[in-house]
Amino acid sequence: MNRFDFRPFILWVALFLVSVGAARAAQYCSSHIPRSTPDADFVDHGDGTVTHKETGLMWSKCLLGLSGDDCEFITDDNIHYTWQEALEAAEASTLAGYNDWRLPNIKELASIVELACYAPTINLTIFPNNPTVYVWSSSPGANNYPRYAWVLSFYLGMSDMYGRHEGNHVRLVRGGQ
Amino acid sequence: MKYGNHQSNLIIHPAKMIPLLSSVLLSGPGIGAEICNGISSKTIDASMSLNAGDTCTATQTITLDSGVTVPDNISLYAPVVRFFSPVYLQGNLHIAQSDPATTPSPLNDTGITWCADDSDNDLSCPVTGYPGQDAEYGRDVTHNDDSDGHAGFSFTKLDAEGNPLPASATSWSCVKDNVTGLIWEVKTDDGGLHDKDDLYNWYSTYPNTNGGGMGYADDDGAICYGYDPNDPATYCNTQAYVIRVNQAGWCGYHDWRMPTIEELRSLVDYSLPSPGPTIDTDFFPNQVNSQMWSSSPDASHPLGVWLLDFGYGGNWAGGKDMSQFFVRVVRGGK
Repeated sequence: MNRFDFRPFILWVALFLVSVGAARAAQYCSSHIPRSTPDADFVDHGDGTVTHKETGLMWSKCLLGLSGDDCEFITDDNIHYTWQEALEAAEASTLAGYNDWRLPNIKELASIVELACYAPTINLTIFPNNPTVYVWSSSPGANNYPRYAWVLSFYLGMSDMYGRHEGNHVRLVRGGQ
Repeated sequence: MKYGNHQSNLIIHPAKMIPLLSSVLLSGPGIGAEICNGISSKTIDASMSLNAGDTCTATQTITLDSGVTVPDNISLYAPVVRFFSPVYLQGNLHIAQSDPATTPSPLNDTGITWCADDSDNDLSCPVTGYPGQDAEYGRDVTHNDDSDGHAGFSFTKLDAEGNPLPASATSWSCVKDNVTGLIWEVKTDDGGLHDKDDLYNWYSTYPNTNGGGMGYADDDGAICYGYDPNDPATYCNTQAYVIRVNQAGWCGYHDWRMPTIEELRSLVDYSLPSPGPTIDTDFFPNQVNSQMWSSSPDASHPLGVWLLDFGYGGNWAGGKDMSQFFVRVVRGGK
């Protein structure tokens, strides 16, 4: 049976929504707060990776499932991952030819929060098109939260725990101690 | 640019060389200032020349003439600059930071040494289908030695003069974090200035860093040590507390400051369950399992400041509107 393939249509709708979201959610930065992640602290390698000189960590420029110089292309029609899917996707990534990508722990993830800005609370020159969403860390919740793992909201910069079965976004990291 | 109000502190990060790369004009009514670097001090005179080795005391005051122009290319090492009256700076005061490319600030690890799947913790690593978890990377793997703090943490106890003590010491005043380089106040339970139970309002008169709202100077209550309603220096707010600690000195240092939210987070041991406290209490006794103020304002609201909740390890924004929370000061770092 010849079925109509909805996938390209869904992709374009998703791309439209991401674009609209980026246009509508204008980032606000305060002039009364020092920048915690100024451009000069990063090296953009031009291959989808950036190095944060403050920590020595290399990050993926785009959230998993997005690509392009401005992270404008959607390469995965489902950019929400459960915690397990996120761990596995990081393990499988070969971004820029590296095969040691992983999820950041919660302290590493918080180290790229731009404290002077919100909606999103990240440096958009270095990490463009960052929806104001929760991003997974590799850190499981402690023993009274065994079904949760730590996430960071890049809307305001709040850290919180989310159920491991729930869907959140992923940014890859490699290197460090 | 206007710096300072009555008895306010301009804290410049310690150990950071501050070359004045261009002329700075200091003007204002009856300028008085003191510049201390904790151990020795430099005296400002009208030409802004510095005399090394002068002893700085809390009462030392340097009077500057109005309209003094500071010549080029003078370097100051001055973690603490206190102006006793409003000071106006014209021109550019360049604060040279060390090149971050050559001096990365290592992050502390999280303290988590076990792996997890969808519903269980305390599993041996690796867990099939859940690769690359927190516990498989970092200092908690490479430096897992509990003698100097849980797993990858590495702390050194310091005495009241700032001298290192063995980990077995039963009395200490500060802790040096050997990973981040930060030196932290250890709270006391003696009813004194550093008491763990003292509460503070968040207050900062520095418009470049206070998020656009100063907060409350006086809670109208005796919520901290030595509160005197007639003496603003004793008001229970974060800025006054930093000044009081620096005037008295603690562990030999006079350059204490409020920690940023990331500096507070560096101490969190995420392996510890709520109600916490989520910190290594072998090195940080008297830690409340509650919210502590950071120096970091919340960009989304002029009354918001980030709090680290040591009850479970998360951070959220609290209000400067007379909210009362706990404080641990820090020094060092970049």
